[in-house]
Amino acid sequence: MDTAVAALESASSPIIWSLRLSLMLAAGLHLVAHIAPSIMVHFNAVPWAFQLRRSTNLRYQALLYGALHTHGWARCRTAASPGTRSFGSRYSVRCTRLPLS
Amino acid sequence: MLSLLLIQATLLRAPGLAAALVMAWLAVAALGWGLVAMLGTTTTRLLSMAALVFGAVLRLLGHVFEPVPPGMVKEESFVPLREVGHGVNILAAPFVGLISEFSAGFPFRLVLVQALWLGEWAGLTTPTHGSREEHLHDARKVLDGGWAASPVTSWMLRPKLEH
Repeated sequence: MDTAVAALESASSPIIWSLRLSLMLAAGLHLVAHIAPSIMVHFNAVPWAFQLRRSTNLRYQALLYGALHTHGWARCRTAASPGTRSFGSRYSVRCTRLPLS
Repeated sequence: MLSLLLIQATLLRAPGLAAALVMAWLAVAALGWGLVAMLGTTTTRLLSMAALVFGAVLRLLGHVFEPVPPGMVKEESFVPLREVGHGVNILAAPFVGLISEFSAGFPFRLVLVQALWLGEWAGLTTPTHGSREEHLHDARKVLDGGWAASPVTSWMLRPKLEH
């Protein structure tokens, strides 16, 4: 058992390495989004969305979510509510459609 | 971490949604403990890590086909991908985007939006935060007219003055 666990840990070292790196960079992103959003906007567009004090402003977060997730994959993840449409009955996939302007 | 999420849930000023979130986070914690009991700490930890990293990659791929938001190419409007040039910021976008999507997957951000909409579907009304129909209507206006099209986002045009 110990050998199997050791083999699993060895084989998954890229995952561990990438997660640790991602966590460090994510912490950096949050820090820069707080202290220099006007610089970050050129690379991220909405650095303010990562500011902790705005995390409970759901009207703001929901609007950004709707505006920045227009691809079919994202729309399918926001199903199960009014304003959806079905794409074929075979798979019963329901995707959100943004209201027409 | 669980304590912070529970505190955030109570700061939403929507008792029904907060209660649902508290239940959801406790259920997620219970699921984690259950997986540890069944699969062991090492396997569960690795599966969780892989899910977090792979999820960020998938979300980044979804954004590749979407218009570039205001601020990156043009100041006031979304720009279709085919009209985007090769500026330094665009070349850096995949790298920054991957980290941004990794961060967006943290439980204190976009999960709340999903919870808000699912709560509305289940009958929980949250007048403070608006309805999903209002959110998507505003999103449509913003897609057409940029951040200025909605008072919720118009302040983002003046970062140097106000933020």
